[in-house]
Amino acid sequence: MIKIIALRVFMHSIKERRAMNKKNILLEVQDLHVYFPVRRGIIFKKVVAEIKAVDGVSFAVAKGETVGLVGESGCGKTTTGRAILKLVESTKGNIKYNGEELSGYSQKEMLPLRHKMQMVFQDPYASLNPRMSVVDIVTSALIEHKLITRNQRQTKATELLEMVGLDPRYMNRFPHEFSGGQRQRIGIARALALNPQLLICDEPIAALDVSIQAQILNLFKDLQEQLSLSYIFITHDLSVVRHVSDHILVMYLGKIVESGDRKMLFKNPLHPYTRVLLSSVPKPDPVYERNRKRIELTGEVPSPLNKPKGCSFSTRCPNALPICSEHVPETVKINESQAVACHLYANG
Amino acid sequence: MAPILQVNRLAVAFKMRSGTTHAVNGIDYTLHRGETLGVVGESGCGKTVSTLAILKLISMPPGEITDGRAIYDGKVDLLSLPIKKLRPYRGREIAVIFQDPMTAFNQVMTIGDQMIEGHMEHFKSSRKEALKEAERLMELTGIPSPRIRLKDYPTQFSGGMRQRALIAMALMCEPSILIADEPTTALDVTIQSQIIDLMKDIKTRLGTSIIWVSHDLGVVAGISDTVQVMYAGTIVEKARVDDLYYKPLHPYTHGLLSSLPSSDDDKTKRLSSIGGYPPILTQKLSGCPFAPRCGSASERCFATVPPLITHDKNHSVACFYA
Repeated sequence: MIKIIALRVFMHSIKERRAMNKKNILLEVQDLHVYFPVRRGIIFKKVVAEIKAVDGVSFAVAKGETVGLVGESGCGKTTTGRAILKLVESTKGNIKYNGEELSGYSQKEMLPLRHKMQMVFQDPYASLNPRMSVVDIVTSALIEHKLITRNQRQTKATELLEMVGLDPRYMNRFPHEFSGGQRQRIGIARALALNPQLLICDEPIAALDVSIQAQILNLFKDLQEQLSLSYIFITHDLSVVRHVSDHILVMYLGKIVESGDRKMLFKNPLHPYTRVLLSSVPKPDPVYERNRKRIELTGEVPSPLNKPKGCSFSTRCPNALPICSEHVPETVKINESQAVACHLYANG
Repeated sequence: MAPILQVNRLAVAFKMRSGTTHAVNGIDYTLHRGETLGVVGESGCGKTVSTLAILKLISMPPGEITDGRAIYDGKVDLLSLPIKKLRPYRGREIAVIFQDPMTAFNQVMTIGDQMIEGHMEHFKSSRKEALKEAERLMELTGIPSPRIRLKDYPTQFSGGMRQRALIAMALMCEPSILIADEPTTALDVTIQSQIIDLMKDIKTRLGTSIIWVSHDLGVVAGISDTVQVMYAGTIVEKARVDDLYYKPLHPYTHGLLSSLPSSDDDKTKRLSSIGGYPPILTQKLSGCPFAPRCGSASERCFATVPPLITHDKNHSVACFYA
């Protein structure tokens, strides 16, 4: 029985890979693990436990595609993004960029790849150096990589600022002279400076006001069309992820519990956790809100230090079966676009 | 019966060396008994200051309440009281639930000790009585094994649990008004919906009036009876919740609502966004504060501040063209 399922999963993964190759994969993450050791003691610093921040995550990003990574705080979505860029060291797993295996690379070997992958950070107040002028912020990477000379800075900065909708006349100003939305535009301009193919956006609009969020989301969309960028869009906000993504991954305690294309995932959520998430998003619609039926979820996310045995969602799951607290569910493909890691779907 | 809170011409300014910021510009609002009033707006619009100023819970100086009255229960003007006379109202009649459950507690006192402080002060109760009340409220707000958890320190609580404890603490003195300042913003969505349900439950059980300050239009839609939208220190629109969401009159409200990504749009659709940025409030308003970002603004909008005018069914709007 198990063999048959395993075989089926294997066959599927081969088919999937063929299909993906046609789609032109840019980034492929396989079985990524990031564990943070917890140390005790003064001299020996013995490792007493491990925080399993990312615990076996696999996905792929095609050229020009947006992959949304959603989950609640502590689910490992940011760590996944950082591990791809080697901003944190991964414990295990493979990361392939354009077919090139990155997992064994040193920081030095990563340098040429940094052209290709850039990050947009959450907090536009903390992620810009307050002592650098805008022109220095957006061009410093170019100078570091010796792609332009110091004399070309002004021209390049003008080009970049125009691309993100900022007036280039402001390039000699400092970050504190800009509002949150403008700062985020500067952060995006900086990320675009090296002409990357992939942007990893970590909650890029969470710190912004509603009316500004829409501006920045539109900017991301325009840039994708102009430059055929791929995005990994990390966010806790489901309505945002639905708006921007082609493919969505739902994370819970370091694992992807469900993945699917945006239409299917929202129309037909399979994993109990996805359903709970979708049912808890407040909508700006008073009648809907009054009549809404929330799926009650008791308790809180368990600590990643001490994960439950079996499925990590089993302690809060409204549909938990006895097997859920015993065995970790395999990821099963349900249809063309959706895959789910849940025992409820284990038999197809 | 008089409304539980009646605020008139409230104006708050922050006077600093670099200049004066007019955070709240002469606003009027009323909170009825058992009502939940949602206050929405973007950061810096004065939504928090306009509610916390009632208890003088803003830093003064640099803050200064330059004008206005806040009549509590038809009897007393809170703004005319000196801090010492205001103390019996703080926590006892009007309690506040702050935004960030991580920083609202004192880290070196147990949750229990912090919860009972106000009760012992206001009711002159014994420690034992106060602890009993704290235990009851922790149970009401859904904290498991409350007796043991009262002895815990804030760091031993998770974010959601701390927010529950904060709500329990606010309820200790049976206040008539709860001011909830972005109480779910720091929480995850699944925890957020638990807290919203809890607050609704408390409201029906205890009949508390609530002022719910939030930037999240979705959350406000679910909890409020009446909603007021603030922009640049003024109320631009105020209405029953359904009217505000389904028939917004002010261009700003309209813009806010249509800039949210909706469930049925497809990926290629651009969001309609409000161009430009909110104004910096260092000068007194000389016209409609929204005019520079408004599509249908005329000369008149830049010259005169539009007053908040009540149209049908308690729907008020500050716009010449609504």
